[in-house]
Amino acid sequence: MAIELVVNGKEEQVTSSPDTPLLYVLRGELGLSGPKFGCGLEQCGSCSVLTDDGARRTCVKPVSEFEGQNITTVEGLPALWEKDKDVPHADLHPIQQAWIEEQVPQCGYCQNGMMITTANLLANNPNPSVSEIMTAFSTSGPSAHLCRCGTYDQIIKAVQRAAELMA
Amino acid sequence: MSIDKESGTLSRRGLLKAGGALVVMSAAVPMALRTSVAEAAAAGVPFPTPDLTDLATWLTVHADGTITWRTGHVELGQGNRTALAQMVAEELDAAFESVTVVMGNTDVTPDQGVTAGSTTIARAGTQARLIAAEARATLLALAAKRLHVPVDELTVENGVVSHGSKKVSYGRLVHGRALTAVTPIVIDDKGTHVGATPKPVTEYTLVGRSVPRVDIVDKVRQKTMFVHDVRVPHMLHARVVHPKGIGSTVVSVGRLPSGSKAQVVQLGNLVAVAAEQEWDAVKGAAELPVTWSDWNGLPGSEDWPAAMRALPAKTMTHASQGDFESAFAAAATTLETTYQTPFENHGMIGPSCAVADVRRDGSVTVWSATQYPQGLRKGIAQMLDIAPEQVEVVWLDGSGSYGRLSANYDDAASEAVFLSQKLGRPVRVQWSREDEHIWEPHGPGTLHDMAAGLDESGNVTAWKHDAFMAPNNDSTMLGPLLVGAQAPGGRRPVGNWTGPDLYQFPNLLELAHQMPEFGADTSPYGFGLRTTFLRSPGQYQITFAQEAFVDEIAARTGQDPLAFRLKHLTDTRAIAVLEAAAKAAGWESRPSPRKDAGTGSGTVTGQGIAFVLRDGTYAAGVVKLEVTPATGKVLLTEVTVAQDQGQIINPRAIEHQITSCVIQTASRVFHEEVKFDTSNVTTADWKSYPMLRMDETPTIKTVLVPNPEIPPTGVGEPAVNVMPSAISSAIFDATGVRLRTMPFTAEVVKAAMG
Repeated sequence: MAIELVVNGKEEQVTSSPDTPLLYVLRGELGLSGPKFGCGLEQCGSCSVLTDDGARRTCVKPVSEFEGQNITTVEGLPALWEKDKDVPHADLHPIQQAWIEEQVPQCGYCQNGMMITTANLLANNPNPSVSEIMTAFSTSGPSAHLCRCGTYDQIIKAVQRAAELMA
Repeated sequence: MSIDKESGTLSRRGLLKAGGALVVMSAAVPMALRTSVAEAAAAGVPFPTPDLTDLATWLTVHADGTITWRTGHVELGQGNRTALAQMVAEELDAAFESVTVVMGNTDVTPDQGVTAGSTTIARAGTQARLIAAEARATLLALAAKRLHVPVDELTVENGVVSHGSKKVSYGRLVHGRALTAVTPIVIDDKGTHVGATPKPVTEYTLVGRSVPRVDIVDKVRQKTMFVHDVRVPHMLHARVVHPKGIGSTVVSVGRLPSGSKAQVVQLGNLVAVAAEQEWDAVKGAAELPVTWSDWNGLPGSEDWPAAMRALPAKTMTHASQGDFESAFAAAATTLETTYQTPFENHGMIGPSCAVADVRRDGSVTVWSATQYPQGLRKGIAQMLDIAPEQVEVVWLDGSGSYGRLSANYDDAASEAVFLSQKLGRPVRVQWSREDEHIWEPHGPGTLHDMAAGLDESGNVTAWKHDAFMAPNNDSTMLGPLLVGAQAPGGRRPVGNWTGPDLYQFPNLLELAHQMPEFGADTSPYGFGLRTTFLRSPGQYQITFAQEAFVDEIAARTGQDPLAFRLKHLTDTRAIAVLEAAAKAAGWESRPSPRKDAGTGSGTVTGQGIAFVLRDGTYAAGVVKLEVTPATGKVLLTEVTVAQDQGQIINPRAIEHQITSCVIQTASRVFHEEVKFDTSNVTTADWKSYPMLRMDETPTIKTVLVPNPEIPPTGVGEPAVNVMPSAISSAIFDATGVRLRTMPFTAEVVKAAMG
């Protein structure tokens, strides 16, 4: 039986078995490579997506728990910005723009989760302090968001820059 | 997701099979290569080895003026794709935007060795610079002929050659045809030799600028194809069920539950579950009952230091001058102590992943994030007992790697080839988090017995550093050893002392005791607790002990740690980085510990300094931190690094490498330790082996000391080395307590504060 999701604004009927974690549905069935497999244990954050309930990890929870939800991956961030701000065409979300301006990624593997969590943070707190940014990435979710290349310093600057661009 | 030859992500074989090879390839591959590929395919050699002395191997100038440059090195996130493009464009006098760098596709890109040890710019970049200079000379010779003017009267700007009002672009001159160098390229033991002279550094306009990295926009858009994202037609997903103990072998393999959509594959001790859908493979691997033999060849992590000392070692003298024993015996004061570094993880955020396609005709394509595609290619040819020309390795971006995929070229790829061979279809192997934490070849644990003798005036008269090192260059790949396709043994990995000594101490003795891996003697696979290169291997451990012990001597003799170092250094570049770091950090010149140091209530602060010469690059670091003795919590508040890497290619990329070194190493120093029982590693996830969080990030200041006339050296590793000892010394400065065993977790610090 198909499960209905809205992914990046598009209605999808997915046929993966209901116990499949959402991550495998997004990557395998829907061909979205933004959310990444990092641990399968909700311990690193690289699989994060935005849902109606905020940023969520997708590597453990089955797709059935997301039935009917609006899901946004990094691929859908520009369209989300268009919708939120009623702008005609956004090539990039301001968060992505800030990530480029601050030259954040090194290997880039974890940055999906970093940008998703930034979108979630700025939706709730449009002008966060450094301490609030650190909290959002360190202690507010199921685990800290981990970056092995050590880009935390650039991420903090990019979140502040994104907040400016979105103001 | 589309596959793009220009970015090096499409198998040439795929193109040939599609029958559109010449048309599709014309954009990226020169005529000479195309001809050779077509001929080679006809002759049954699918993947010829690129000839390094053929200019056409290195670059193609397309009709529209764009230039494809090919390198055997790969991007690990450090920005070398961009830096190489800067160096090549500079030398060719071409626009930066016109140069695209293709990396690590073994039948197209030249073998320039492994991307490791911060060598891309220093070695591969220097080679590229020389060959680009030769390419420019070749292009100018063509232009002189075309314009009927003397070659030495030509000028070039943005890829357009001019003589007065006469102009011709590189694109019109070449039109994608293969270039033949005006002076043959010679490569021998001494290096690369070309007829052309590279541009003087004083004329550089592109090198030295913070050009935005070319890979970042795609990474931000999530358009970069990581190896984890590769999907090829008819591909199966596989999870490997690795042995219970490091030396365990299969006793029995059960069945998957009825209704499972996966299949079991067993090749000797390589047990895997494969399925059309990845989740079915993941579930199947978790559900498959496998009984393994007991194996208990490890000492257990509580006991490893004593066990390491008892292993049979080969002793290497790294340095010896004067007579240490006599000078130490005659010393007025002596210091003796031991430092210890733990086994560590590389900790790639994305666990190992690779795709292999072993075809019926014997040809093989492997998609991998290896740091050495040509090395992996040879390794796969060897394990399948076929010619390297039957194998193609296509490199794609991976999840960091920090040495994990260097000597150990790619475990997942080595497993995928056997599974693909058996199943007759392309197979993608994705390791689980537990696989990666347990089975990655770890950073080696080490011990350092230090001894110093001082005369009555407090001068150092004797210095000894006795290092016991687990190997840091294990190059075994799991696949063939589990399958039994390769005999155990081969090259014995060793731990290597890395790095020169700049301190002027008389009567010096430095020894490295090279130990085998724990369990290698009793494991049927020939390897034990595998350990290999981890960012700044060898040097990281050596510098920790050396620099912290230097601080101990300074403290014992009541000297400022900076002044003590400057007194014993003569190298002006070393002195310059130390002074630059101290100045930028606001170093307080005084002995350690500080007068009000203590372990009482509240919070105490401290400063620490360290220096290293690594990969030809000089780095000095100053650490400032706060210690709360009651809880053992240490908070890094500010880290300053001054670095002299000779010529600067891209300042911002270097600064980001320094901050990367600072943050990653702070994680290693404060949190990381691989633990194991007698059978295998027990730290199997990010809870049992945690890493630094964002809320522990210090303020980081970087100072790049300019030295444009000196050839560029590595920037990916040097700053790693200044962190451990500077942190140890700053904790000592704050509290008067010296920590000598990493990691400095809160529990360890609290216990030490007594």
